[in-house]
Amino acid sequence: MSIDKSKIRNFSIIAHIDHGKSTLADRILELTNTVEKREMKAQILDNLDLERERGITIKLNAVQIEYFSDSKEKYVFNLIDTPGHVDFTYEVSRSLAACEGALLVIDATQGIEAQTLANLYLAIDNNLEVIPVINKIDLPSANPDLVVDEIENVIGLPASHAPKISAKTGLNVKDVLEAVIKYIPAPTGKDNNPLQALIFDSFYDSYRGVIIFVRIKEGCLKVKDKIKLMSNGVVYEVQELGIRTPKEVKKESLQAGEVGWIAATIKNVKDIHVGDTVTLLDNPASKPLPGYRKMLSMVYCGLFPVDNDKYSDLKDALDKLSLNDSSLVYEPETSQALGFGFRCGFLGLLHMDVIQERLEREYNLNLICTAPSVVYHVFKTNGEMIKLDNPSKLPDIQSIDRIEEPYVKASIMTPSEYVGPLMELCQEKRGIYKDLVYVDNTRMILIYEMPLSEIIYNFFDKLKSYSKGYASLDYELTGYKESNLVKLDILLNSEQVDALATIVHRDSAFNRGQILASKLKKIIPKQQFEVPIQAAIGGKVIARTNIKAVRKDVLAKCYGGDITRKKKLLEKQKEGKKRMKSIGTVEVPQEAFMAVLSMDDD
Amino acid sequence: MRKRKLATINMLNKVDALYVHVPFCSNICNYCNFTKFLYQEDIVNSYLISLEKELSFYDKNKYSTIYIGGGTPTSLNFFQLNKLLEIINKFKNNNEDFEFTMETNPENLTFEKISLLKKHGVNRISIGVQTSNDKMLKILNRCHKTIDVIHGIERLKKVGINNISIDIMFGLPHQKKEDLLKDLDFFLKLDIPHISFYPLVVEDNTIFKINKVKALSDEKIYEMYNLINKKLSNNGYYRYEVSNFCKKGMESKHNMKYWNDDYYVGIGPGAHGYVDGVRYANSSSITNYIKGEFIKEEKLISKNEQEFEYIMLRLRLKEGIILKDYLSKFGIDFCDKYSSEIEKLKKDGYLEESLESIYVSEKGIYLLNHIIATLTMNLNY
Repeated sequence: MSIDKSKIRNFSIIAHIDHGKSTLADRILELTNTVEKREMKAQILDNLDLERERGITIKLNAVQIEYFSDSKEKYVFNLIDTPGHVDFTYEVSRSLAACEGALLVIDATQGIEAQTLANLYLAIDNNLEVIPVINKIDLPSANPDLVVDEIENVIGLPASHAPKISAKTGLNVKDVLEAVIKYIPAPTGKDNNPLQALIFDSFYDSYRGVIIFVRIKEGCLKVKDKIKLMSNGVVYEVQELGIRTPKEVKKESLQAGEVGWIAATIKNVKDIHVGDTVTLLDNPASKPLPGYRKMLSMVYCGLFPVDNDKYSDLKDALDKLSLNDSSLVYEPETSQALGFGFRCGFLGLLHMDVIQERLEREYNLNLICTAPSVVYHVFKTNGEMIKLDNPSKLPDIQSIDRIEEPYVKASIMTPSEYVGPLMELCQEKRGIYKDLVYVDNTRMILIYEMPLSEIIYNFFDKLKSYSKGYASLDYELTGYKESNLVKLDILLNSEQVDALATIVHRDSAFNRGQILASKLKKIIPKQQFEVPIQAAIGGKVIARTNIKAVRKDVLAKCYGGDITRKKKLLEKQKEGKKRMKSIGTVEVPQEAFMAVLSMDDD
Repeated sequence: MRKRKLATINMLNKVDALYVHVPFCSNICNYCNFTKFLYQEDIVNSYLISLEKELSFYDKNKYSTIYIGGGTPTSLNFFQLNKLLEIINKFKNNNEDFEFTMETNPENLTFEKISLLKKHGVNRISIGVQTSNDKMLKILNRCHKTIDVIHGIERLKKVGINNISIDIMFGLPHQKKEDLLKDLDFFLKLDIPHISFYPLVVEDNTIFKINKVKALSDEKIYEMYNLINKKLSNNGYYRYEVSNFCKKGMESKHNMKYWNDDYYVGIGPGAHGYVDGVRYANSSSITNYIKGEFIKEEKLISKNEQEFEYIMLRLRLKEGIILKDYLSKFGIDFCDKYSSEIEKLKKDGYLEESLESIYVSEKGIYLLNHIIATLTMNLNY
């Protein structure tokens, strides 16, 4: 049974965080009766708990929707959800590559923001047809006409036809669906061409192995077909395939233009690479589809199980997570202080945060994360260059010729009244002023070149507080520059703690050393003996403080046979101890390893 | 629920300790956060009716230790006190070493009341002395003066109640080492067999908390503890529990049962009990108690939790954990199960070992929480 491809539309929704992307997806599912109202949970595509709690979409999801148009024709839509945050650019580009078009949702009360632009450019890079959608017009402060002007003037996208909707109330959402039919092209592939299916997502199912999500670009795929992965030549037999509505629905075949899932008893998670092309063993395609631009990890940190026996569990969890998040990279790391773990690379801080939380929640691991670091280029006097993602591994100072650090082009969109303070902030963060662009009468884009390490150190929070939450940030890597950098070591009880080492600019080293030492003093509880904390650069101590010894912690009395209070206190103390890591003889709580990041240096 | 539970209680002859809470005081002290109410004659009368009802669920003539605590049990008037003792008396057994303790305040130690206690078989008295500094007594909002302590103890000895304990507080606001030494000299002169020492803790819902009184630092408390220990050991007292000192053989038999993790029945508002593996707490509302609502919460203690409690309680005692008792109670060899934790704590000098026991060292006693938490780190429940 062949399907009419002119009635298929594959599209994504892209937006700045909080502009209503997931809410619009919900309304579309509801309006098309894809999901009955009573089954509706708010934001149904966000099925990770973490996603719903934080109001962000992290993982992709693809849903097939049937829609009867105003002209009484039946259409099949494949809606592929995308994450909204800057860290997840890579995932956005993955879902976009599986589509012909995208809805660009813009909040009518906020207008264009930094990530709106970033996502839009990705869509344009992927040759997608972009339909602007102006959302939240029900809010009193909405100004849809102004936003239309802005879209046309700032991003040069025609917007007179843009649906003006309220995803929350459902107002005009039908216009969006009609616009999808009218403006987004139908897929073009042919069923009788050799199979080319783009893998855009995958996950691990403990009963069926790896499940892959594909967009069939050319050809046709049936149950029992022998498939070949073009990057490594591995062959599997298709056991089941189908679509999601969002429930899994099994089908006999998938044809060019369709989006669906494949189960082929794939046991080895390493065989599957998102961005790879699936073809048939018998009638293979001559070349794979263009893959994705592989994103570079920008931020690294060490992840260690609190309990060293859990190392293999952590490895397993990372293997499984990386299956549908190929941007996560990791390799084994050994720390003197923390034992065996992994050095992990992330696209950004939020990505790092999300992975840590998913590991803890979904895989029930108790982790210690070291402070994040960027990748430094260390040029040695012998001409060798090392890419360094772990500050504790910085070679001996004598052997170093120079160190370069990554710089980014940071675009900060802000109401004009905050430009002054934000420029000061960028200056403070060693930023180099590049440009100041007017978006309209009230908003500006501030462009700075800035060390990435400064962005991961407390920048985002400050940006928000300096601008009362109005400024938004986007950044892209521009290259490496030489900086006067030194390694700041921390010694606990005279022992160097590798996991607490950081690389900092020489000018701020003294200040940070002192802040870090006193912060650690606050975080590390009193021990059974006095513990000196020292901060040092190249063996020279620049700051010192002491954690006092506990002299007494015994409870005097068990009140009239009531032991519950005493017991609760002890249980709390026990739990606290469990979450601590013994470094030498000092018990250090997990937060200490993040102290480097969160310290307030005002 | 009550009835069913009690059916099991009565089958168990193991329970032979009874605690009775009398939640009334003629005056509220500034540091106290126990369940207590200002004395009102009619409420006490209703309380006594309820108490008798609550006790009717239990078997008579079986308890070998009875402890009447409070509050201030002796704040009751003569007739009420008589009634209370008549009710309670039916529960004591005929053992030779039967112990019957009553808590009291120095100002209540009149000949009249002492004779009444004696008549009803009370053979141990615990007096809330706190300090010998009259100024400090006022700050604590106590009703007595030091002279009342001297006279009270004289009278007790005169009627033949020699098993006397006093409760002492230290680490009082602005208290100096010299003040404590003066206190200690005074207490030693009283020539009594048992003294309990408690550092002041500023608890929630107390006048001290409201007035933001600060307890002394842990360092100072630690030094004072050491001072007390030294002085008392030099004068024939033996520290058998963290806060309790006594002359040879004069331990509180009733309190020993708590620390030995034995079962006990608790009666009265806010009282706690532990029977047949179940810990329970009575409602601390006097209104509800008078209405006849007794047990408010019950919790079955799992095997592992029992182990935790046992360790927590036994390590408070100088004699520590007796290995063969542990084996017979839990079917587990204590030294095997906790070998690595014990090794670590021994290395740090906090635990010591004899042929038949593991106990906390002199050095470790002030860090008991750390010791218990470390020892039971992998004991989950």
